[in-house]
Order: sequence, then C-alpha cells, then structure tokens
Amino acid sequence: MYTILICDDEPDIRAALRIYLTGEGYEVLEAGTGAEALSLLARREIHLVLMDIMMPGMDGMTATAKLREQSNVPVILITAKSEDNDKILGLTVGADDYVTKPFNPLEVLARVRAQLRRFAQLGGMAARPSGLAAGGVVMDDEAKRVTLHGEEIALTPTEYDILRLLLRNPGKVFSSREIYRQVWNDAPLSAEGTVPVHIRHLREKLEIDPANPRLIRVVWGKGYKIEETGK
Amino acid sequence: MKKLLESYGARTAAFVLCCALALTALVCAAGFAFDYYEPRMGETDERDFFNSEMAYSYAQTQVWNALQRVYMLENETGSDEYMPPEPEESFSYVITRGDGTIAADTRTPGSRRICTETEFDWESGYKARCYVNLPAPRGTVLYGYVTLYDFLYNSRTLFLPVGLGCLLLTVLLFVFLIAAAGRTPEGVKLGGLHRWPLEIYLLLLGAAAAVCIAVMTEIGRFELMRHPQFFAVVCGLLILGAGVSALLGCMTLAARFRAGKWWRNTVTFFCCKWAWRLTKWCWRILAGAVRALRRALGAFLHALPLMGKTTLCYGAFTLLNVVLSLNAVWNGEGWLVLLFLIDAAAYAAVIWVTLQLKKLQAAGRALAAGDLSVSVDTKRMLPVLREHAENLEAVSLGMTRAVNERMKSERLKTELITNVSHDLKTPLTSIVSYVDLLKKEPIENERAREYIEVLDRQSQRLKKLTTDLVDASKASSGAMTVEPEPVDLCELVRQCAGEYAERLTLAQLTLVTDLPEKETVVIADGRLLWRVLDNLLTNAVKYAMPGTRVYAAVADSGGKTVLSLKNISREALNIPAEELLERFVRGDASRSSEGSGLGLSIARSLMELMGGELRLTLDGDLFKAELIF
Repeated sequence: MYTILICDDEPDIRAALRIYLTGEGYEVLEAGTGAEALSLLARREIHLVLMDIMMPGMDGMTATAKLREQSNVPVILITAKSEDNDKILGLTVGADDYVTKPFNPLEVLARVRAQLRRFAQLGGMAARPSGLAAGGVVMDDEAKRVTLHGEEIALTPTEYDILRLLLRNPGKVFSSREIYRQVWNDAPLSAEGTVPVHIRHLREKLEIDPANPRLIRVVWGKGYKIEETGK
Repeated sequence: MKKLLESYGARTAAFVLCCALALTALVCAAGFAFDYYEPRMGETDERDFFNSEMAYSYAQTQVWNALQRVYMLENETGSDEYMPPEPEESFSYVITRGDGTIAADTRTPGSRRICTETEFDWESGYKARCYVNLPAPRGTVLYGYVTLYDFLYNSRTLFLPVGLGCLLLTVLLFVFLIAAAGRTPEGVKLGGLHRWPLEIYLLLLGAAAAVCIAVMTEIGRFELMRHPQFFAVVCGLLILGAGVSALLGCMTLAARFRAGKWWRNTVTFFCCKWAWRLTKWCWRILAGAVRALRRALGAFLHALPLMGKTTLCYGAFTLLNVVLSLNAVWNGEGWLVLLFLIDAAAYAAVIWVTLQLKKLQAAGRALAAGDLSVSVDTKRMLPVLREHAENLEAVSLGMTRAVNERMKSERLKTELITNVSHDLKTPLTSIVSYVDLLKKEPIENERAREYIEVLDRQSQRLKKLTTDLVDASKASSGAMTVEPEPVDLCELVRQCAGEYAERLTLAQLTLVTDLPEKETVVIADGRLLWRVLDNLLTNAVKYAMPGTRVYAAVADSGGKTVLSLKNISREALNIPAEELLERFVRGDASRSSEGSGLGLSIARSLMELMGGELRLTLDGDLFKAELIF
C-alpha cells in the first residue's frame, strides 16, 4: 500500500488524479501549494510525489529542490511547458520523471507504477554482475531474459539482439546499417529498412510513451542509442 | 596695527607729519650740503661769507646790472626805454675798461672784496670786481644772504643728525602711508581721488610738481625775494607742493595696486575697451552683412531650379572661356595659361561631382539589395546631392523601423500564443481526464455514450491543436533553437519509415523508398527535420488514397539535395499549393476531420529555420512535397 502525494493548485486535476490513483489501490494525499506539500512530507510517510510546476507562491521546481534536501522519495513533475529547458531543469533539480500537460491519465499511472517499482527494488538491481541494465531494463544474457522494473518482457530474438547491442554500448549511436551488420551478421543490401521497425516494436514494449522514448532514443538522421544512465 | 592702518585720523596725521619731516630733512640736507661745499669756493681757507658760494651768486646777479649800465653809458648803446637799475647800496664795484683804466668805482671805506671777477664780454674787455659793505641794512638782498649764511653757519653741526633723523622718520611714515593706502574699515576700497583715471591724476600731480619746481628755479628774479624769510617760506611751500604731489602719486599707485586690476581705471584701458567694443560691433555688423549676403545668395540658388543652376554654371564657364580666348587673341598668349588652368579646375569639379554621384549610386544599389544600414558621408557634398543622400537614408531608416516593428509584433504574438496555450493546457488536462473517467462509468444510455465519444475525440483534437499552435508560432517567429549538425537523409527516411510502418499499413498505403547507396549528409537539426517529415507523413496517412503507394526519395539535383515525398490524394485538391502552406488552411474535404491545419505551415517554417525550403506541387491528385537543402 503506497501513499502518493498530489501537489497541484487546480482542485479538479487533483480530484481526477485521486480517482485514477485510488482506483489503482494507492492511498492519496493532496496539497494545494508547495509549502503544504513540504509540511505533509514532514509529517506523513509518502512514497511518491506528483508535483505541478506552475503554482502560486512556491513553484514546483523550488518545492522539489527543498524536498530533495531531506528525502529521496520519487518525484514526477507535471508541467504545462513543453520546452526542453524546463524538463532538463526539472530533472537537474531532483525530479525523477515528468509528464506534460495535457497528460494522458494512463501515462501518469504507468509512470507512477514504474517509479514505485524502481524505488522499491533499488537495492536488488545492482546485485547481478553479468546483467546489462539501463533505466529499469535489466537483461540477463545467460537466461535470455529481459525484465522491466522486475516484470518479464517477451521479446523476439531480433529485438533481443538489438537491445543487447545497444545495452552493451550505452550512449553510442548506431545507424540502421550498423545494427543490421552487427545483428544479422550480413551486409545491409537495402535490407536495413527493417531495423527501424524492430526498434519501434522494441520501444512499444519498453517505453511508456513510445512516441517520446526515454530509454531507447532516436537520434534523427543518425541512428539509435540507449541513454547513458548516470552511474 | 590693522586698525591704525585703516584709521583716517592716523593717516592724515602721518601725511602731514611726513611732509613736514621731509621738508625738515630737505632743509637739513641743504644746510649740510652748504656746510660741506662752501669753503672750497674762496681764495682763502677762511670760512666766512666772502668766500662762500652764496656771496658769489649774490655778486654775480648784482654786478651784472652795474657792468651793463656802465658799458651802455660809456658806449651810448643803451636806449631810453631800458636802463639796468643800479645795484643795491650795500654792493659796490670797480669796473675797468679794456685798457686797464678805471671806469667806475663805488667803493666806500669798509668795503670788502668778494673773490670774483666778471667780464662783460670778450671784445670790450670791461671787467668788474665786486665789493660789499657790511653790515648790510635790513631789506637788502645782501642782508638776506648774510642772515641765511649766519644761520647755516651757526647751526651746521645740527644738520646731519637732525636731517638723518627726519629722513628715517619720513621713510617710516612713507612706508606706513603706502601700507595704509586704499584701506578702509570695510576692506580695500578706492574712494575720492583714487577714483580718478590714473593717467589724469598722475598728470595733474606731475604738472603741479613741475610747476612748483619751475617756479622755484625762477624765483630769484622777483623783487620780493629780497626778503630771505619770505624767500625761504615760498621755497619751502613750493618744495612741499612738489613733495606732496609725489607722495599723493605714490599713495594712489599703492592703493590701486592693492585693490587689484589697477589698469581698469585708466584712460588707456578705457580707450582700449571702447576701441575693442567698436571693433567688435563693426565686426558683427560686417559678419551680419556677409551672412545676409550669403543667405540671399543661397536662397537665390535654392530657389533656382536644378536645370537653372546647371545652366548658370555652364553659362558662366562658357562665358569665361570665351572672354579668356578673346583676351588671348588680342592681348597675347599669356592668357592661354589662365584659360588652361580654369579648364583644369572645371574638369576637377566635374570629377568631384561624379565621385559624389558614384557614392549615391553605391548607396542606392545597397538599399535595393536589402542592406538597410545605408549611410552616405554627406560632408562636403553638393546641397542637391546631399538632399538626395539624406532621402536615401530616410528610406533605409523607415524600412529598418518597419522591419523592427514587424519583428517585435511577431515576437509579441508568439509570446501571447505561448502564454495562452499554457493557460489552455490546464483546463484541457481536466477535460481529458474527466472525459476518460466518464468513459469508464457504466452508462446505459446509448446516446450518452455516443456523446462522450465525441467529447473524447474533440478534446484530443484540442490537445493537438494547442501543441501545434505553440510550435507554429515559435517556428515562424524563429523563437525555436536550431542545432545544426550533419544528418544522413537516408537514415532519416529509414527511421521515419520504421516509425510509420504500422500506421501506413493501417491506412492501406505502401511506402516505396528510393535511396542512394551511400550516405547523403546535409547540415540540419535532425529533431526538427523529423518534425517536418512527421507532419508530412501524418498528412499522407490522413489524406492519401487507400491502396496507393507513397514514394519517398532522396536525390541530388542541381547542386542541391532534395528529399521528396509523393502520394495520391483521396479527394480532389481544390486549392493552390501555395495556400496549403498558409496557417489553418486545409482542403475542404479535410476540414471536418482531425488535425489543426498547421502541419504544413509548421513544416515550412521549420525548413526555413534550418536554411532549407519546402516546396509543394499539386499535379491532379498527385501531391508532392520536396525538402530542398
């Protein structure tokens, strides 16, 4: 039973999120301002915070920065601004994830779930030495198993090979041709066009929002890469 | 001491005292001089009146009359009108002719000789010896001389100490007076005589002194001077007069120097001042006249039309040429040199004007080419051309202002749109969420469920619209950050094909790609380029005829790299391609379906931001989009 704090100045949005989250079986607390959220955090045991950025008085960024001084509870920012700068600033200040308004409630639920899983399993992840891992995805190459936040994901052999190639070289950009050459072990005679389709499928299986991937990034006009996690 | 310096009483006393002491000192000096020089005049060393200078000068004045008288009587040269008077009775003389015979002898027993001999003139040989009888009776000149001599002789030891003492005191008082000059209890202030113009005052003082001294030198001639006391008093007064004048002069100079700017109160300065003012005034009048003349000439030239000016210049030039040519014919070839010089000057002037025209031409060309920072150096330009240059600058300034204003308003619009859409997003979030919640409620009413469907669809569309709106305004106003880097178009097309594989299949479309074997790299922002292709492919999925093919090709054409996308439209395209690129424009058929109508507009703006071009071609039902780099 997890407790989630929703911090937003709009009561309607708070109510909607409460309905969704209680429907999923979470206990929900509400705060209308950043200061209220901080005082609630001090008094209650809270497992995750949904924080709106644009609020009167103390804004979400400041509240998150203050919160991080005492606690490492997961924070998901809700932002109306779609500029990259705001996302980057939010993540730098200490947020773990973000959703942009107007959000899809199901996406919020999925991100909440993912963050909670990760928070709960933080200790167990680094234990497997042979495993390849990035952003909640763990690959056990011996058992040929891939898990996302502990849940097993069914991948085709090609998808598995592509994921392994990317996981082994985090941060490196592979073009479709390179991936084809390495995975198929063959010269890419105009057949590399299938690689993006496979990657698309892979993203659909691993990402919450495949159109805006957070793990398997599309570098447009160059190729694909797995985001290097700050180790 | 300061009080003393400023007190009028002290100064007046000092002044009087100074004069008196100076006079005393002078008398003492005279006495001392007499005592010092007198013995050397006599034939003996005895110190008495008969050996003195005084006696000598007395005898000279007396004997002269006698000599003249005797000479005139004997040679009958005298006239009735003038006969010199007899010397006074205590004076006697012996006059000898040239041959040694005695002509006159007025001696009485007791006469004593004065050691002098006077010749009448060199030719006649008349000579006189002088004698006086003592004691002289009162009222005679001799009495005066003798009394004076006795006084001087008797008090000769006193002269040096008393004289020096008086001199010292005089000097001290003089210094005091100089130090006090011009001072008043209210500070240094000039009053009374000090206000007189310096030269006039000094001139008056000098004149007074000069008169005194002149009178003194001539005083011996007057009968009155037979009385020595009277003589002494008059002499003293005259010396006093001269001294007072000198003292007053010194004092006024001191006072004026002390007050500062002493030269201001002088006639010279006054004259100079007025001369300066007069000069200035004349100069102003002259300058005004010159200016008026110039203005009149300028106004005339200004009023003259350009053609008139040109004609006037050319006419003057021609006239000069003709006159000089004729001169050369009649008065010799020397005039040809002048003619040549003037023609050379005319050529230089023409070149000068041409250079200015060239400058204007360059400025005009730059302006036409879109360079709005046109500036022409109008210094030393012909007024006509300067006006033209200024007009050019005004045009560029106006255009710059218009462009700036337009950019500003564009920016403000973008800001407004961004802010408004941010504000729209919050209620939209609620709407989307609650519509989703409604959908999950068990509602029996079939129509209500239908309505909820509509709500869901439209709220999703609104969501897309707000995002597109921000993107469109940002892209068109250039507020978007572009990070250009090498991008492989082939890889991009493959990636896009991968992204759209399912959606194309769903829309019953087949994507045919025609890519070159090797990499085709352009410099662009891959993220933005994906947005462009995303919009184009979305349109294809939405509006292409099912069962047809979509062609994507990358090729080089005419030095440019072109990425083209072709599809067959489901509906007839009833609007020109250019209009499709405008914001919110869509084909009639698509008006009711989802989409914001901003896709192509955003795509074009993004391409322009990256320095490329988006070209649309409609050929019947064939829709062709080309990305040109």
